[in-house]
Amino acid sequence: MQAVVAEKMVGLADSLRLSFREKRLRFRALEAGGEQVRFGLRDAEDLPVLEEILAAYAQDYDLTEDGLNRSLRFSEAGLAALRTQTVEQAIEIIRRRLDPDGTKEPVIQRQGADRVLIQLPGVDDPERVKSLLGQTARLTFQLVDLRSSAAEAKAAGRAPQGTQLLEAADGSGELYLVERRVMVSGDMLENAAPSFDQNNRPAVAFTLNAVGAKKFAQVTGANIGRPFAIVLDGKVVSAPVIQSQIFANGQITGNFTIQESNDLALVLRAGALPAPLIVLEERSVGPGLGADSIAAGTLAAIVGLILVMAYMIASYGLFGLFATAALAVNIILLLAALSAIQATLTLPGIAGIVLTVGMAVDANVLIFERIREEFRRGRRIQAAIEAGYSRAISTIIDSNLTTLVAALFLYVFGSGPVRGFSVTLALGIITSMFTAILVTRMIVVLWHNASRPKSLEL
Amino acid sequence: MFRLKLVPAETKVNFVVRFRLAAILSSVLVLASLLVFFWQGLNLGIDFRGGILIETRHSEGPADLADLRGRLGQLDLGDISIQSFGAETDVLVRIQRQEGDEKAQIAAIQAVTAELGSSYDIRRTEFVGPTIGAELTEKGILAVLCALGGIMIYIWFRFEWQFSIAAMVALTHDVVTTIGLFAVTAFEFNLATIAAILTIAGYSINDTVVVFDRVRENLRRYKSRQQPEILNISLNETLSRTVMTSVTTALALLAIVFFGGAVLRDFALAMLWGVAIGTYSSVFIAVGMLSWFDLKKTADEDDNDTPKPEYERG
Repeated sequence: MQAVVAEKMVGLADSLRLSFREKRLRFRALEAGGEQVRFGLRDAEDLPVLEEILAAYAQDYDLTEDGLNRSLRFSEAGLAALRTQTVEQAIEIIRRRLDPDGTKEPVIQRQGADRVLIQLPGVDDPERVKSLLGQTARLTFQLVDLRSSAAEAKAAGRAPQGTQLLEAADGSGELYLVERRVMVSGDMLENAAPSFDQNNRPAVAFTLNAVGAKKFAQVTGANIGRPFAIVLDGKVVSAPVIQSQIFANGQITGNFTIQESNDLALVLRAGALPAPLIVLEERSVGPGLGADSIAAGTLAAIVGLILVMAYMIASYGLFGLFATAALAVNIILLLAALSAIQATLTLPGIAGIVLTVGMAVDANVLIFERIREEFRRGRRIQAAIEAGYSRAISTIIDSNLTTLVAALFLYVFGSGPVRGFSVTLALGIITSMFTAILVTRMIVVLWHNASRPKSLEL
Repeated sequence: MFRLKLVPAETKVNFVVRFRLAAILSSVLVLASLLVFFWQGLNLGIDFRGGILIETRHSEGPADLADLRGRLGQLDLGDISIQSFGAETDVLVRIQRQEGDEKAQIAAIQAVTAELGSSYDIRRTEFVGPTIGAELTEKGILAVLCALGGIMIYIWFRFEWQFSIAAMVALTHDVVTTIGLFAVTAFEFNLATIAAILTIAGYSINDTVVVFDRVRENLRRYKSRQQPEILNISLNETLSRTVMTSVTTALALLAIVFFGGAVLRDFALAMLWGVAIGTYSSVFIAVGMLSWFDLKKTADEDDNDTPKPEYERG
């Protein structure tokens, strides 16, 4: 975020300088430094004009006054807006980099103020994902300075005015002295594609848009025979000599592997990230483990289901059978709901399902125990069933809602796998309330009407 | 027809006389848990401490842990723990948080995967940076506290304040003793553990609410009886259900312990403990706490605005 703010401040200083000149305001020492822009007025007479100019900036910036000196920095609201804009832009570019064809269905979400959560199913090579995300991919073409050399600048300890020292991207430690002025930058690219150079080494071919092509033709035409540097994220990829005037189409060469040239073309097409991304947390599951654990989880779920069903039938006989039917419906509903909301089925998610299986029958247990009790108190079968359901319902709702409260907090404060667990748990509670109360009741009523039992086998 | 009945149809267990014993037992448990927690602490996983975790499987027979310890120890990554995980081909490598920023952590993962070589298949890597670690700790504590608070408020709305306090004491008891269990056994305490604790809280409150519901109902039904007797009747009436539900949940959890794989085992074990402690606490701690209050008075005052249960209306 700091880098983005610093950059915005440079932009702010430029736009202030323009407005000041336009209004003939006499100012001095206008400069951007870190997270603020400072300047001074030469004459107090200009204050009303200044106020008029600054009114437009009042919403996003805070103004500090000290005599005739002023400094502007982002206000809370301005910073928040900038953050939102930056993160949204980053998300869009991440999506374009990771899923250029729109077929991989990655989950890319904003989390908190300035974080992005990325979930990618079915990736074979997590390292490549990191390298795709790791570069900001800010591309510029800058002329190499010939008045002085990189060695002289290094010896002097600083680059001459208007130039800068940049390292080579291949890690060789070689230094280049280049002009600060940017000839063409990455946002003027129309397209980039992997290709090969005349020596058949991997390269990236690019096409500039109209504005870029015009500028590029102008500069290259005037500087034939001079080298220019292709700079990516502050490092020099290569510095070819301009052989002839270049218009819209050019080629970036460097010591690329095929994979690297593919990836570079991809990130250049997708555009530069507004700020570098830092990996804060990373969890990856290999395909082997994924398959194994899903298999283990499924086995556990099936065994658990069978055990619970057998136990219910052993305890409640026919009614137990009704409850297991409801449980089967419950599982189907739960899976349907999970796929409807496109939840990723994680291991804790499976644990949530298994736990739901155990707890789902609770509602039926409450109802059946209540029916037994009412029957023992001397009610007729139909009345006992009636009373059993109606009395148990308030208990069921109370007890399930409290568990739902716990699931809600798991969701709000949990992250990643814990969230998956809370979603399955909450959905499981809701579907089990529905099936245990309504589905079993329907079955019980149908059964009662069809067989008219004389005694209650419960 | 055969019926499996773990609890006979009508029980007359005198729970109330055992409340005192349970209170002493639970106080000892809670104190011991706190002592172990503060004295020994928890075996915090990388979720909270930050660090790196790599699960790997040797593709050529059982993994040689000693060899791995030697080779990975030379990488100079600080504290490395290497242990077998589930099967003897599977190894879990834990590396302490590396000095420096996130890039240093990623470099460490790469160093380890390179050293492991091609005979080890990387099955899972997790890396939690320092910023996130601190945040997850904070969020974890907040989640538990907020869940407890939310549950307490809900019970307060639905019942009387005495029930809310009793439920809260029982829940805190469950949470503290579960944390105590993790301190004693040195099971890894991670995000999944927080999930387990909150689920235990949810399960335990579920159980407690069912018993409370019956207590409330019986307070209205048996106006002439003494409070301890009403508590006893309520517990006996719900005993069969309490046992049924505990057993079904335990069955499902046992299936995870035996078939669910190594990743879920600790979670399921913690939950099993939770089912046991949750069931115990709803009977002995939650209702035990209720016996300290004079519930009949509040119930009588309330009588004017709550409709009588239908069987009393005739």
